[in-house]
Amino acid sequence: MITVDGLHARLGAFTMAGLSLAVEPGELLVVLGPSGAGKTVLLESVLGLKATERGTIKVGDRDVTRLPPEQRGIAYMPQDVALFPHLSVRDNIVFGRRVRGTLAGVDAELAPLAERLGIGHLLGRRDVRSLSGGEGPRVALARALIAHPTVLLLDESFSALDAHIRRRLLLQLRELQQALGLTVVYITHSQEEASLVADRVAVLMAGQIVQVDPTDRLFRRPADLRVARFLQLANVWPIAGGDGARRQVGAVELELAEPRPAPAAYLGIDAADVVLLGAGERPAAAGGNVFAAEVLRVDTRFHRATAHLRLTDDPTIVVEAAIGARDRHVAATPLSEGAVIDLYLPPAAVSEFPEVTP
Amino acid sequence: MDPARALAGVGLRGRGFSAFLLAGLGLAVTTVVLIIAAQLSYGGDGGGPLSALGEPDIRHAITLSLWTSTAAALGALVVAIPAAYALARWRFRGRVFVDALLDVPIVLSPIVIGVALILIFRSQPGRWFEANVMRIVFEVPGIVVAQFVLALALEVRVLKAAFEELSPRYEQVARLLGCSPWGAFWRVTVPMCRSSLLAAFVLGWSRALGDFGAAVTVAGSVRNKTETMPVAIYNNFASVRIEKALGLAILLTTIALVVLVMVRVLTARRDR
Repeated sequence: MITVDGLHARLGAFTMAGLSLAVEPGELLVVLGPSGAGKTVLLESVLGLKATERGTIKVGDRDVTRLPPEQRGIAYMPQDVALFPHLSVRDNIVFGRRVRGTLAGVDAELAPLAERLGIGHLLGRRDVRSLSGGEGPRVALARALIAHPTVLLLDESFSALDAHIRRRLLLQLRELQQALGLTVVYITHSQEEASLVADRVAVLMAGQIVQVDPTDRLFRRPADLRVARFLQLANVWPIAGGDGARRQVGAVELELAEPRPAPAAYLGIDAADVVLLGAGERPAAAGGNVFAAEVLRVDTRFHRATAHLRLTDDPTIVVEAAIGARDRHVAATPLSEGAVIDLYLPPAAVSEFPEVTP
Repeated sequence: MDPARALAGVGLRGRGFSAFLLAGLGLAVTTVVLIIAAQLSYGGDGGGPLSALGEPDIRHAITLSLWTSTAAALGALVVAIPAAYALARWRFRGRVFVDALLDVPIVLSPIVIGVALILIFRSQPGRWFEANVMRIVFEVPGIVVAQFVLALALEVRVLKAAFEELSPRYEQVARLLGCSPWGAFWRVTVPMCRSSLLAAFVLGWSRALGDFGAAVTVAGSVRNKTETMPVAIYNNFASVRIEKALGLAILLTTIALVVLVMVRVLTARRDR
């Protein structure tokens, strides 16, 4: 629905050299990247707020690269929502229709949309500044959608809100997007927001899209070390050597799910994929990837806990493992400091990746 | 709410420090009150200062001042709006210099502006303009031109600050909702800055109304022709027609007071 091809653009000292990205119709694509990765440049180029040096941007089949913002068919919801303070709630929502001279029939559309967004009772409000943190974004969403955009583009639109409101709005956006079959691009630096709503996540790093995948796959198969670091993949180790499906990491040997032609630079596994084994649980079937380890410490963040374990075979390797209900209540794995337990790194969950995507 | 407003009423406290603040505030208020009271305290003979306002030459000065300053301030606004917007939104080499340059008339003594205007309209192109378009020097349009220069600088200053404070996001959202640049400017930028536009106009207008030096240099001080209120105050005072001078002075003071309160009320009531 949006196709960016070989985009070159510049902002201050930042250069974007040849970014490409394709958004499928009806999907919610999250563009995820750390600050300074080029999110703003990409956003402004797609919106037409910034001239591109080279490359093409298409919305549907239309080449919009040289079109002004108002002719691109994209609705935009910025970070601060930007409701017009001099207009009433209703006038804010119908702004786009008024400007385009298509006010006819707007009321028939407005009622069900407002109902769906839960803002029906706000349509009579004169002052948008009286709206609460959760109401403002919903009004802005109505303003964007009533203009019938081909694509809806949100730039960290909910980031400044309280966590519970943000979560509710994101889920509401997701529901609306699926119900109406909208194509939505959501730009954010937060992997939490991304994992909550995305069909696919495009990871933006240093002006390049380095990976486009569903969220769970990002963690299981990061494209390179930069992605793994940005996603805070808990366990990343340099590969010392190996062949086929075997990889040497320090003094231990790990197995991959399937043989690969040549070892890459790093191995990684998410903390949630590390299996802690109870006493006598060592699976007979699992030949490799089971290691004895000593519990160094357990970190608790609210209800989530992670164990840090040092491998007996190579004390320089520390594994971070999420502690689950099974570990606590069923297996009764001993997790006190100094305890020695077995842990299992399922080969299918172990990923291999280079330092930088070629 | 912006943080500064949320913290209103919070400040440095301490007995000695508060006394220092109070002394400053008291002295400032006293100065202005004395200026106003002095004008009202005149106890000379005759009908009193206010009755002098009815005399034909004084009435002429009042009318002249009111319309020239209004015309100058409105004309300046037409130029100041795009100029201030460009300064606020564009980043170009030499922007700081242009910005400083536009401030010059604020700092400069108005008489210098007057002298410069005379020189301009006595140059070759200036003479052509006077011969073919409109006479400026020692004529009423000269007053408007002089006041325009003074008002413009102030209006640019006020509007630039207002545009800078307005997040470009609003305009960007408006563009994507279907506005052309013109549409976004008139539907979003201008209405969102309307109290600043009003403040800019009023400040420009009062600068124009109160000017003495620039107008008198360009247009002279011919009674019943180019004599504005401040010029009439000077002339009458110099010729010891105290009541006429005082009447005008009181009128100017009243206008200043009304205008300032009005601007405060209008801008406080509704602004972002």
